[in-house]
Amino acid sequence: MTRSNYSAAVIILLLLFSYLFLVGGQICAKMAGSTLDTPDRMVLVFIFGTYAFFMLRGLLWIFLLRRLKLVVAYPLMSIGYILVLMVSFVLFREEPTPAKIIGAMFLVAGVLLISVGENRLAAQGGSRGTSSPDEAGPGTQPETPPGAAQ
Amino acid sequence: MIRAYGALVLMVFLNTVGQLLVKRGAVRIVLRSGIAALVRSMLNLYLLLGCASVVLAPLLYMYALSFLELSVGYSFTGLTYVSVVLSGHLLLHERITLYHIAGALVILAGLTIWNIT
Repeated sequence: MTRSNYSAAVIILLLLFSYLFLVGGQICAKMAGSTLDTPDRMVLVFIFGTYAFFMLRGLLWIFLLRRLKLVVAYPLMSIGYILVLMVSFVLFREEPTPAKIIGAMFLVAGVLLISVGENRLAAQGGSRGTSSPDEAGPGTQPETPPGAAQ
Repeated sequence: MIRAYGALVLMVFLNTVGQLLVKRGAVRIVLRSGIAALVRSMLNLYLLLGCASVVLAPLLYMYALSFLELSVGYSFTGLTYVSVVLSGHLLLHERITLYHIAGALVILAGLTIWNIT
């Protein structure tokens, strides 16, 4: 296996895990939210899970952003909107309205446009450009997604 | 319900502040100059704001999700892209392109469509 093949495999693996952590974090956050009224020990588990998944995902994106161009990384990140939407429909039985699906497509398109803009700036040099909502947070702690959720 | 949306907006604000701090390089922990310097470097307003963003934002998100659907709450994270581009330009004087403006408008349009129900 050549070196470039190897790093491509690593990147794909990291990406898959970042989606996994995103979905895991969102599930935990929703579960924590919906058990807030009737607090028991499980709430703490879900709250801990939310923080853990968010931070793991943040850490993964630090690695990914070093290896991918922003113009590639941002759109890959925005696929998360589709994934979370699917999870909310399938797992939480939320209503899959056309408004949500079209809105998510707009969001992906908007992120794509911003990433093209970032790429233009990077090509011109000089500007440091915009870091993503999912990039590393202050200090050594990873930023929460866009929600936190990012 | 209003409280839930308020929590989401506050979450976006905190995440944006965190992003701006990272971009400015304002949060830097001094590791090599002894413990006193380490502690001093960690006790600045920027870092406290950064920590607030990392610790409080998920709590606000979970609170909002106790009222809202996941598919509604998660859409608000898209607002962070818009606010980071906007505040990066206005506060840090970063250069932006027409693509940034178009992207921000498309995201805002998407959020509007998403939340019309």
